[in-house]
Amino acid sequence: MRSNNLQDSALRPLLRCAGQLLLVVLALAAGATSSAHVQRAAVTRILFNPNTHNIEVMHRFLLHDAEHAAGLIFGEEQRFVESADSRELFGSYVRNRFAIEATYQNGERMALPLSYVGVELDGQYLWVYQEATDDRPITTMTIVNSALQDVWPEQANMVNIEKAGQVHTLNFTRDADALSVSL
Amino acid sequence: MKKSALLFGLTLLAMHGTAQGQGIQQTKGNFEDKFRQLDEVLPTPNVYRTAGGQPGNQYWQQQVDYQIEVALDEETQRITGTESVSYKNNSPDSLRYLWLQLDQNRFRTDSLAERSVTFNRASPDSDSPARLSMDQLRRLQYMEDEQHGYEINAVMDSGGTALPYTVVGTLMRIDLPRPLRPGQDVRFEIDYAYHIVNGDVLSPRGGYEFFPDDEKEGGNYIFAVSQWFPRLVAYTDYEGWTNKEFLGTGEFTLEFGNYEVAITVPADHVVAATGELQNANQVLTRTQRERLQEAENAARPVFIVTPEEALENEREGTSDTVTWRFAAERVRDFAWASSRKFIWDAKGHHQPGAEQELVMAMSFYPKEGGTLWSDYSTEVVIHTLDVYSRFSFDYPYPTAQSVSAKFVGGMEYPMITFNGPRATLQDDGSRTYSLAEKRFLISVVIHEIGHSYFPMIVNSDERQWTWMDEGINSYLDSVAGREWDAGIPWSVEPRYIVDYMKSQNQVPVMTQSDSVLNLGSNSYAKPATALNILRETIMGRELFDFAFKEYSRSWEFKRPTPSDFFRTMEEASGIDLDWFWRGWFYTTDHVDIALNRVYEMRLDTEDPDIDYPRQREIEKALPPSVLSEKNRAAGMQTWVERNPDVRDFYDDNDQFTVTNKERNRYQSFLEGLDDWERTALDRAVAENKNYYILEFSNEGGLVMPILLEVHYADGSSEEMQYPAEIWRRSPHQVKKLLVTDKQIAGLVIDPRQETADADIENNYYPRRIIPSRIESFKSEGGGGLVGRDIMQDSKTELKTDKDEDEDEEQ
Repeated sequence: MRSNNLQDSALRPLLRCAGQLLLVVLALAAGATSSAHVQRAAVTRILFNPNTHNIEVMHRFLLHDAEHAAGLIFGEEQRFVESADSRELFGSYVRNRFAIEATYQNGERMALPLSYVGVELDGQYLWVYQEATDDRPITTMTIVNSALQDVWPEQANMVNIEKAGQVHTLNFTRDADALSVSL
Repeated sequence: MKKSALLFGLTLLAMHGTAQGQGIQQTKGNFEDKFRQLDEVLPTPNVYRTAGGQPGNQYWQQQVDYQIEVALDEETQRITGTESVSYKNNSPDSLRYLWLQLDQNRFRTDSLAERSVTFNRASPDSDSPARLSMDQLRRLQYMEDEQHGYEINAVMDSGGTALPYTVVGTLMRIDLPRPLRPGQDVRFEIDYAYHIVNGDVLSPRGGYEFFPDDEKEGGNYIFAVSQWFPRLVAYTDYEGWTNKEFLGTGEFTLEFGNYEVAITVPADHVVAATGELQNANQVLTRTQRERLQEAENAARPVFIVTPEEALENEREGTSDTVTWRFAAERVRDFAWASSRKFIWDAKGHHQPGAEQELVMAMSFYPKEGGTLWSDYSTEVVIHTLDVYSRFSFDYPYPTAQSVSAKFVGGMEYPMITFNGPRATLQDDGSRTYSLAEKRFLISVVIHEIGHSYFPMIVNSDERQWTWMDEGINSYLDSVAGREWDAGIPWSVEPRYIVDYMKSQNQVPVMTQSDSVLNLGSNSYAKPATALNILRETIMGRELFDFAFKEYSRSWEFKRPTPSDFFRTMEEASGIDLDWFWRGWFYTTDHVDIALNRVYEMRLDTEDPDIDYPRQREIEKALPPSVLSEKNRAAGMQTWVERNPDVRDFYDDNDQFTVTNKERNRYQSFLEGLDDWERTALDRAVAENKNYYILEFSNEGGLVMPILLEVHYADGSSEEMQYPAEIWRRSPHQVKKLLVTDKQIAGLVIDPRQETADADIENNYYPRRIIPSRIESFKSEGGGGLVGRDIMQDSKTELKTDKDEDEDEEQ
C-alpha cells in the first residue's frame, strides 16, 4: 500500500472539488470532539461480488455521528431515523466524498463509475450503498474517502477491499488524500 | 507513503514483540499451540499480585490527599490555584523525588504531543496547492494567540521553603530534601495558574464552551474543568513511576486520595463537582436546600434550579464571587463545572444496606439541553448505578452527576461526567431532538457514569491499557443499555466487529494506548464484544458474572493490571481461558470457521443378509450409464432384451446375492468376537444410527467453540456446541464424528451469529449463497419498513371508496 501522489490521477478533479467544498463546509462545522466515548470512525466494505460480478461499495456510519454531521453540513437539523429525505441527503454527501480510480490490466486508468444504490438503517448504523458493474480485471485501486473528515478532523475511515477471499485495508485519516492498493 | 510504511512498521513491531515475549518457540514444523498457557507472557506473580489475579498479601498503593483553593476568572477564562498535597509513601521503596502530571502542558506549542503531529497529505506542486482546512487554520491561530500550559509560580515544602523542581513536558519532578522512606509522608504546596482552553477549538477533555448569542452582554460560558491541578503520577509495583508523557490518547494513571476543594466563582454560578458540597448554607438558597431534601425521596427528578430560574440567571452577570466548598474521599481525581446557565435537577438513588445508602443523582445543563436532559439525564444516571452495582459492587460515593458540555462527546471523572448531546432550537422557539440524539444521550450517560466504576474505582492504568476501562465499560454499558430499552441497538453485537477484525492494518488489543490504531474498534468495541461472547456463548452468564464480580470486588479501590483480570476470570470460573485471551487480546486473528466437507457413513454389520442388500441399494441409486440411456431413448434394445428365451443362473442372481458361504463366514466372525464386542455390535445394528464425519477448518486463525445447528431430513433441528479445545492439537483443521438417530439434511455453524464469524457462506453445508448487504437491500425493495417517518405518516387520512371515485373523476 502506498499513498498516491495524484500527479496524473483521474481523481484529481474530485479532490480539488472536495478541497474547495471543504472551505465552504468548514465555516459551518463545529470543532473536533474529543472524548472518552465518541469514536469518529466509519467502515467501508468494497466487495468484488463473485455472484453478481459487481463491485459493491458499502459504507457504514454510526447513525448519530452521521446525523450530527449532516446537520452541520447542510445547515439544518437532520433526522435519520424519521426522515428518508435526510438519509438520502446524507447519501448524496457521501457519494461526493468517495471515489475509486481503477487501473486495468492494460494500464488504462479511469474513475470507476459508481452508481448509487441507496441508504439503509441498521440499528445504530446507517449504510450508504454504491456499486459498479465494471467487471474488467482491475490491478490497482486508488481511493479517496474523506466522508465526515471535513466535519471532524479526527474522523477515521477504514476501507476493506475484499476480493477472492483476500482482504486489503486502507485507513483514511484526515491527512490521507488518496491511497492505493494492488489487487 | 510514509504513513502506510509507518502503519505497517507498527504492526510488525507489535507482532514481533509478542512472539519474542513468549520466549518459547516452535522451531520445527509449523504447529501453532493456540492453547499454550500465558505463563511466559504474563508477569511473574509476587507478594503484590498473586497468581490467581488477586491483590497480594503485601499489596500497596500510595495515598495522596489534596487541599486546593482555586479561583475562576470568567472574563479571562483563567484559573489560579494553590494546592497543598500530602503524599504518603506506602511502597517498600525510598523515594528521592516525586513526579507530577502537568496535563495542561499538552496544549503548549512546544509539547511532545504538538510537535509530533504529522502532515501526511499529498505534497504541493504547481498544479495543486497544499490544503489547509478552516479548523486547522483556526487552531494554528489560536495556539499562536493564547499561551497555554501551566504557570508554576511556587513549589515549597510545608515550612515555606522552595523545593527544586524540573518540568519535563507534561511532567514535573520535585526533588525532596531527603529520601521519603517507606511509611513516611511529605507535604508540599504548589501555586499555579493556567488559561482554560476553548473547547470548540482544541477539543479537549475539559475546557470552556462559549455562548456568544445569549442575552447577556459578552455572552455566557460553561466551564467543564478537568486535569486542572498538578496531580501526582502514580507510583506502582509493576512500573515504578508511571511517568509517560501525555500525548492525548492514553488517558490517566492516578492515585487514590481525599480532597478538600474550595472553588471561587462568580456569585451567580452554579458549581457541580466531584464529592459533596460542604457549605450549602452559604451558596444555596433556603429554597434550593429544601428542594434538594425533597429530591432525596422523589419519584422523578426535582429541579434545584428550574429552567425559568436558570434563564433569568443567564440574562445578567455579577462582579461578586462566592466560594463553593467540596469534599471527596477515596477518589482518584477531581473535576468540576461552573456556569450561570445551569439548570440543576436531582433525585435520590437508594442502596439499602450499602455503605453509602443514599446517592444523589444530579444533572446540570443549560436551556440548550431542553427536555432531552430534564427527562432523561438523571434517570439514566440512576439506571446505570442500578445495573453496574449489580454486576460489581455498591456505588460507594455520595453523588453521581451528569453535566452538559457540548465540546466533549462524553468524559468521565469520579462522581461527575461531561456529556455532549443537546436538543435543537426550532424556528418556533421550541427545542426538539431526534431519536438518534435521544439514544446518544442515553448511551453516553450510561457509558460515562459507568466509568465511575471502571476505572474510577477499579483503578486500571489508562495510559497503558485503554481497553481495561473502555472495553470493560463498553461491555457493561451495553448490558445496562439493553436493560434500559431492549429495542435500542447497542454496540456489542458480534457481527459489527467483523469488518475491523478481518482488516489488515490493526494492532493487538494488548497495545499501549498511544500506539493503538483505530482506537474505537481496538479498545472499545473489540474487547467489549469479546467479553460479551465470553459471557453469552463461552462461559455462560452464571460463571462469567461470578468471576467478573470477583474481579470487580477484589480490585475495588485498587489498581489492577491486565494479567489480574485474565487470571481472576480463570481463577473464579474454573475455565481455562488462556486461548481466549491469547486470541482476542494478544493477536490480530479473526474468527472464521468453515465446514468444508461432510461424509455420511453406514455401519458395516458384517451380516451379509443386511450389508449385501444395502450395497445393492447403493448400486441402484447410482445414475444409469448415459450411453445406455441414450440407446434406450433412441429405441434400441439390447441383445438380452431381444432374446428373453435365453436365460441362466446369472439372470436371476446378481453380485449381491447372499450364499451360505457368506453366512458361515459371518457365524465364524461372530464366534470370534468377545462377549462385549458382540453386545456392542448387536446394539449398533439394532439402533441403525447415522454416522457422519464433519471436516472443519479454521480460516481466521482465532480458535473458538463450534456452534452447530443440525437440520434433519424430517424437518427437525438440533443445536450442539463443540468447545474451543477441539482445536488444541490441530488448530487449522479438525474432524469430528457425529452420530445421529436421524438422517442429516444440512448443517450451519454459528446460526445466531454470536461468535463474530467473518465468512457466513462457509458456515453452511451444503453451501448456500449468502446475498451481500446490497443484494439483500435490493431484494427487499430498498430499506424495508425501518426508518419511515411514522410520526408524520400517521397523520395521513384513510382513503375511502368515495375518495377513490373522486380521484378517478379528476
